[in-house]
Amino acid sequence: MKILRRILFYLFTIIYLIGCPLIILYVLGRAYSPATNSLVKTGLVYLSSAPQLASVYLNNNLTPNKTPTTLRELPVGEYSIKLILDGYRPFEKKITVRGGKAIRLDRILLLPEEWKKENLSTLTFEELIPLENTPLILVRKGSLMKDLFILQLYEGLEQALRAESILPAKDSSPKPLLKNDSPYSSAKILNIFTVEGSPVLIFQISANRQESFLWMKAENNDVLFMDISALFLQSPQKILWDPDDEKNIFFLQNNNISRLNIHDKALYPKIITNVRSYTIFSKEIYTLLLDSTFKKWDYKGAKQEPPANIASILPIAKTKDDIAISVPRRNIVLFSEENGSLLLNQPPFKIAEHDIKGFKWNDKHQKLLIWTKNKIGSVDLGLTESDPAVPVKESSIQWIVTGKKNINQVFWAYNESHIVYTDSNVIYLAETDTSGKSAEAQIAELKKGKYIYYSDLTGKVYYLEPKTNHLVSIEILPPHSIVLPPVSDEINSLEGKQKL
Amino acid sequence: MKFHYSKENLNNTEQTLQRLFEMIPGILSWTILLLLVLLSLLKPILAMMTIIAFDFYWLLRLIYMTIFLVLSFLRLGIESKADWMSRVHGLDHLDPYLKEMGLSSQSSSKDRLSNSIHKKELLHLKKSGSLPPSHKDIRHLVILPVAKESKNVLEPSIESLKIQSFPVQQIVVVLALEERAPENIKDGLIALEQKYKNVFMDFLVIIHPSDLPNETRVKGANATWAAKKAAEYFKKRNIPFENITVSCFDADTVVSPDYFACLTYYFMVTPFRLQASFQPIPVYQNNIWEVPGFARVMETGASFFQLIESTNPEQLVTFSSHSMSFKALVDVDYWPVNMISDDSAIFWKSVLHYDGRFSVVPMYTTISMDITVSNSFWGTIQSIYKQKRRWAWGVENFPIIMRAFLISKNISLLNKIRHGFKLLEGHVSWATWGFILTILSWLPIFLTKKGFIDSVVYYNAPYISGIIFNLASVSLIISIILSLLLLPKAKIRYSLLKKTLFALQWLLMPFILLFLSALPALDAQTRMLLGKRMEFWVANKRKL
Repeated sequence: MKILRRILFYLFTIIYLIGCPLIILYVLGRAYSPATNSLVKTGLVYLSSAPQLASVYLNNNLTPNKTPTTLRELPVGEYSIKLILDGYRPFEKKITVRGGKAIRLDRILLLPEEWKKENLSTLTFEELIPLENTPLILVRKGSLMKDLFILQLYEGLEQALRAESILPAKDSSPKPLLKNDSPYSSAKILNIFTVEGSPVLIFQISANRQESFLWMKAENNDVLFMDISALFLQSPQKILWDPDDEKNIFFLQNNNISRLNIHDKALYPKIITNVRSYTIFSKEIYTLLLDSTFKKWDYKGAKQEPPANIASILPIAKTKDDIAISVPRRNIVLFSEENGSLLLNQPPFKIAEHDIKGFKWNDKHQKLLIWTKNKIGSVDLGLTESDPAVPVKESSIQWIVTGKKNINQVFWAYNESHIVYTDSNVIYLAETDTSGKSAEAQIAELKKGKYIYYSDLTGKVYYLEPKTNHLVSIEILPPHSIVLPPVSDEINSLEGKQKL
Repeated sequence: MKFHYSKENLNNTEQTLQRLFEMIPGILSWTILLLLVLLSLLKPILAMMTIIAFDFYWLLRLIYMTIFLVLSFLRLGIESKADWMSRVHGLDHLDPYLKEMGLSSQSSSKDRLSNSIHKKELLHLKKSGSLPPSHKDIRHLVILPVAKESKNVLEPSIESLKIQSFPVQQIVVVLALEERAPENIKDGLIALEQKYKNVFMDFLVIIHPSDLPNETRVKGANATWAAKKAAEYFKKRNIPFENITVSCFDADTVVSPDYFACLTYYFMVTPFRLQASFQPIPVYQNNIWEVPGFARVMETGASFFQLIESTNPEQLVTFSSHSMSFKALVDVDYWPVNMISDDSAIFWKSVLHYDGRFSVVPMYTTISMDITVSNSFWGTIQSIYKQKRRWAWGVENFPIIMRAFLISKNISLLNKIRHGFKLLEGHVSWATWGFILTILSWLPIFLTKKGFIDSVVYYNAPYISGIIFNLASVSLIISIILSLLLLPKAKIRYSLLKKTLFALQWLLMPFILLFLSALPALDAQTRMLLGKRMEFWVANKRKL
C-alpha cells in the first residue's frame, strides 16, 4: 500500500504539473496550431437564438452545433456566421474574432418567414391607446366612456405564474371598460391621464355639460372606479403619480402643485408653489420653478437635496419654452423642451439640440433610446454599478435607424437587442446592434398616425388592422424566449395625456 | 521528551508562541477566502485561473482519495470474515502456527488475500523479535465516559461488549460518570452495574469529581480520572500495564463481536505494541435510518475519511473511539484534562513523549456509533454543526505541537515538517475547500464586469469547471455505491425505495460541504484566532 501510495502520488503530481498549465492556457484561449507548430491566441463566439436549435454555419460550413452554443478555439480572423432554422429567415453576420476575446451574440432573433397574426376581437375600433409598461391595452370604438374596451394581457394568477416561469403568451379578447348600467356610459371622454408603468388611469369626462374626473384601476380581471371630481376645485393642467404609489395624485394648477390622497379622499393644496414643470420619481417630486431653479421635495413639500450637476444644464434650458422633466433613475434628470432639445445632468449634458420626438430609458443597460422624425438612436450612459451618478465615459448617440419619413412610436424589444417602431403607416422590427449589417424587417401595415403597443411580456405587437379595424396581435418573440424584466425595470416617469 | 501538553500555565515566551501558532490556521483560511473574493472583484481573470488550478488539484486529489477509499473498503471486506480468535491462538504459538499456515489451502481469493496479509504480519513480528504475551495474560480496559447519556444509550454498547468472541472475563468495563450528571442518569448506571457486574472481569462505576484543579469540563478529564483509578485497580492485582489495552469509547459505541479479538490480534502482532494506538473504522449506523438524510451523508463521509486515512498508517491520527496501550497512556500521563479534542490530543501527546516513535495501527473492523440527532430537523442541523465544530476544534493541537517541535531535538526535521504540514493543511483545507467549491468558484462569473464578459476566460472557465465537476461526480457515484454496501444488512425492513432515497441524499453534498463542514471548521479556527475558548459540548444522542 505504501509503495502504491508513493507511485500514485508521483504520478498525480506529474499529471498536475503538466495538466494544470495546459488547462490554464486553454482557458486563456491559447491553442496549439499544427501549421505554425506553436501556441496561438484564439477567440470564441457565443451564439444564442430565439427560437433555439438553429443549425450553425461557420464560413458556410455546417458545424455540429445547435444554438445555444459556443464556438471555441477560433483562430484570430474574419468569420461569417449563419443560422438556419426551418420556417425562419436565415440569420447572417460577419464577425471579427480577436485573440483572448469572446463575441457574444446572445439575442439573435430569427424572423419567421411569415408573421403569425392573431385576431383578438371581431369588434371594430377607432383607436388603440397604449399604456406602456403595463399588461393593459385600451381600445376605443368612439368618444364615449361606453366605447372604451380594455385588454388585460395577463390576469391574476396567470400573471403571478409568469413571474415564476415562462408561460406561452395568451391573449383574450378586449372587454368593455364599463358595465352596461354604469352612470358614466354616455359621458364624453375629454382626456385620459396615464403614467408609464401604472395600471391606474384618470379620465376627464363630460356628462350633462358637467366635467368629472374618474380614477380607474385595472387589477386581477376587475376594473375599479372612483369619482374624484369633488377633490378637484378646477381643471388641472397636468396630473402625475408614482407608479408604485397609486394613492397619492399630484396635479398642477396655476403653477401650484397639490396632492390628492385617493384613499383618504383628502386634498393637500399648494404643497409646492411657483412650479413651471414637475415630475414624480420614487416618492419624490422634482420641480423646475418659475425662477428657473431646480428643486426636489418630499410628499409634504419639504425640500430635499437636488441631484448632482443640475446647475450645469439649467442655463442651457431655454426659459421660454415648455420643459418636461424626466427622472428615469435616482440622480439622473432629463429636460425635454418643446423644440425637441434633450438635456441631461450627466456629460455630455446636451444630447440633442432639437428634433427629439421621444425617448425611453432602459435601466438595466442604462441606455436611452431617442428618436426624431427620421431616425432612431441610443445613448449609452455607461454609468458605474457602484455609483450610478458617476459616468465612466462621455455619451454619444449611436444611430440605429436612419432615413425614415415619420417615426411615431418606438419600443425596446427582446431585452433591448431590438426595437419595434412605426414609421408612417408601417410597423418595423430592427436590431439595435449596428456593428454589422443591421437586420430590419417590416412586420405589418397600419393606419397612418395610429398607435401600436408592443409588450416584452407577451412578445407581441398589438395594433388595429387597417382594413378591418379589428384588434390583432403579431408574435415577435417565440413564447419560450420571452424575457421577463425585473419588476422595477424600465421605471420611467414619462407621463402620458391622450387627447381625444 | 518531557513536554507540558497544554495551553494553560505557560511562561511568557510559551504564551506568546502559543498565541502566534493559534492564529496561523485562522489567518491562513481567511486569507485564502478573502484573497479569492478580492481577486474575483478586482482581477476576475486571475481569480478564475487560480480557481481552475485549484479545481484541477481538487479533482486529482479526489481521484487519489477515491482509489484509496476503494482499496480500504476492499480490505475491510477481505478482513470481514477473518477468524481473529483463531489468529490470536496462533500467535500464542508463532512458529508452529506459521508452519501450519504454509500447509493450509484457502478456498476463496478473499481468504487467500486475507491470509497472505496475515502471514506477512506474522513474519514481520517474528523478524522483529518482539514477541507478545500470551493472549490469556492480556486484559482489556474499556472506559465509557458518561455525562448525560441515559441507560438506554449505554446498554447497547455494554451488550456489544458482552457478546465478544474474546473471553469477556478478561475485559474490565468502567463507566466513568461525571459527578454533575443528573440523578436519573446516575440511577441508570447503578442499575447497569447490578446487571453486568458478574458478566465481565469487572464492571466499575467511577465517579469523576466536579471542578478538580487545572481541569475543564471535557471528556478527557473524566476519562483520565477513570483511567487513573483503573491503574490503581490493575496495580493491586499485579497485572502489568504492558499487557493491558485501554479503549476509550463514546457512550454510544457499539463494537462488532470480533472487536476485542481483532484488537488483541493487532496488539499482539504489532512489534512496537506499547507505543501504539489501534484505530478501528468508525461507522455511524446505530440510528442511520432514523435521522435526516443530510446527517446520514455527513457521517458516512466521516467514515469514508477514516477509511482513506487507514491506508496511510504513517500519517494516521487517532479519531473518536479507539484503543491504545495502557502502558503508553500511563507513560504520557493520560489524556489532557483541559482539551476538547482528547482523541487526537492523546496521539500527539504520545508522539511527543516518545520523540516521534509512536504510531497508529489501523484495524479493519468497524465500531458503530449514533448519528447526532435532535428532536427537530433544525435541532439536528444545530447539533451536527456543533459536533463538527468540536471536531474541528482539534486544531487546538496545532499550536501546542508546533511549540513542542520548536524545542524537540530528537524528532527529525522531516517528521516535524510532515506532521506540522499535514495538521495545518488538513484544517485549512477543511475550512476553505467547501467555500471555494460551492461559492468562490463561481464568484467571478456572478460579479461579471464588462472587461471580463468579453474575454474567453468568462466562457472557457465554467466549461472547464463543468468538466472537472462531471469527472468528480464519478467519485461521488463510487461513494454512493460504497455507502450502500456499508449499510447494515440486518435492517431488511428498509425497502429499495429507502435505499434509493439514501443514494439520492448524496446530492445534498454541496450544502453539507458548506454549512456542516467548512463553516463549523472556519468557526472553530476563527474562535481560536480571536483567542476564544470552547466548552465541551456533549452531542445529543438519543435512542429513538
